[in-house]
Amino acid sequence: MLNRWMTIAILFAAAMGMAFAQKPDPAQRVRAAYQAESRVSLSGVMRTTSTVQATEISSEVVVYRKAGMTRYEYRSPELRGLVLIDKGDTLIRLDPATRTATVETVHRSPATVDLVLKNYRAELSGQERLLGRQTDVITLKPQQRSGPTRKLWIDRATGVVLRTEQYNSSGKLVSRSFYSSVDWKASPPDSLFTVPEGWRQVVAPVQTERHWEKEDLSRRLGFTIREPGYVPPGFVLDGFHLVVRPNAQPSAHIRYVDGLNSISIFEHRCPPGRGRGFQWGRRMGRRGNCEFFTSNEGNVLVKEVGGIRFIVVGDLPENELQKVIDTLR
Amino acid sequence: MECTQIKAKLADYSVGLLGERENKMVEAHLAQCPSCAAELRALERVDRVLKAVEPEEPPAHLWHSIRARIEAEHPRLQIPFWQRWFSVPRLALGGAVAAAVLVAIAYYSVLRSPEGEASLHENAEQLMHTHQMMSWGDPLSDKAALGVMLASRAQTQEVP
Repeated sequence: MLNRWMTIAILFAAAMGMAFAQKPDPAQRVRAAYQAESRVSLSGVMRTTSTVQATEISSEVVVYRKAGMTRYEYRSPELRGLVLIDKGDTLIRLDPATRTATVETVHRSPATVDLVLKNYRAELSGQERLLGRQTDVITLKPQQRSGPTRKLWIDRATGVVLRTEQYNSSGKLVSRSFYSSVDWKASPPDSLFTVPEGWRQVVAPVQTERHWEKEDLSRRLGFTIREPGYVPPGFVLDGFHLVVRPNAQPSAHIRYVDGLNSISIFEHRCPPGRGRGFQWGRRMGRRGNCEFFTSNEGNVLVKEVGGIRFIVVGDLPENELQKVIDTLR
Repeated sequence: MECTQIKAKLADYSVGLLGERENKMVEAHLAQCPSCAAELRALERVDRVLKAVEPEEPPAHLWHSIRARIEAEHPRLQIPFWQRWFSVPRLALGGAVAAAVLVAIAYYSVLRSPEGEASLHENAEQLMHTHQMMSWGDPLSDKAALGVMLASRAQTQEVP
């Protein structure tokens, strides 16, 4: 009798063990995917499609990855042979038409995978075979409010993301990238991650890594930078930056991140003379003093107070953006 | 309708001057008559060629020489000197006023401001690009897709 109960208990434990073994922890899979970005070497061909200003652009991309470095070779005619080399702290852009390499420092976001998992619920949506390999399909959904959603097909063996889909807060597909072939044994030569010999090398005017102290940036711009009294729950301050654009007022850029989503607040002096009128977007907000634009990539809200123009950008619902901009005074 | 009646209406049809009823009749006829359809295509070709041609500025003396010939051939049409003097400057004056109004509008709406109303939307687009590109360093960002955006939009400068 005892033997029979022991056998049942052992079989039950084995069944439970198998069930749990087959159901991976989604959060662990997301961490594995994040770590694989800097750990796994490979070469492969990707297909990427993005919506830019309501136009869909697709390209085949040849990818080489090695020890924290990635090279992207864009093959579509529209991108004219663009090559990007991501070395973690720098991004090199190779333009074959002019044989120019533009080097810029990459902004190091304070957003970590912990922040992602704090603000987004990782769910196992399924298990699929891609390129003959087992993948876990993980969907990252906002914990509390509406926001963007990310779907990742993570290779079970290596953690490499073989397919990714990004949806905006309205549920529209913004970008999709996937490998159509992968050479897992590839060891790309170091020369692929350096500027080719004989190319002109320039430093990009865009140096996004620089964080300013708020007071220093206020002094540089000649007005006191305002921080919003409200940002949606889950967002943390990334930092203060300076944006200089040709033929436009220099702006302060305050950025907040929640892991997958971000809010940018740009502040600059209103241009002299006219030019402070609103006519392109839809008026909204108290006394109609705000202007609202929208696109697939996000929403933009603009208002002017006391000679300062505030531009708030983010993939957030209108009422959330409105709450942020209302607290900028 | 017969082909001759349709062909008489094709020029008006090609520039959208026909009424709705006539439009439908012409379209119904064109759908089954290759000859009239070919005539319409020829008219459209001519229209395209005319649109492609740069309008040429008439020489300054052209109107005076035409007027002189008309007056020589029809002496009764001659008008007093003061009227003739007044008629041409009146046109010139009207043109000058219109030009002044245009210059004033351009000055007040664009030139006085380095960032005129027309550019507000463009500025918002530029800043949205900066906003997107800052996510390059965020965890699990789709860098292959961001590269497409990087190449597709004018770069905004974020300086140290």
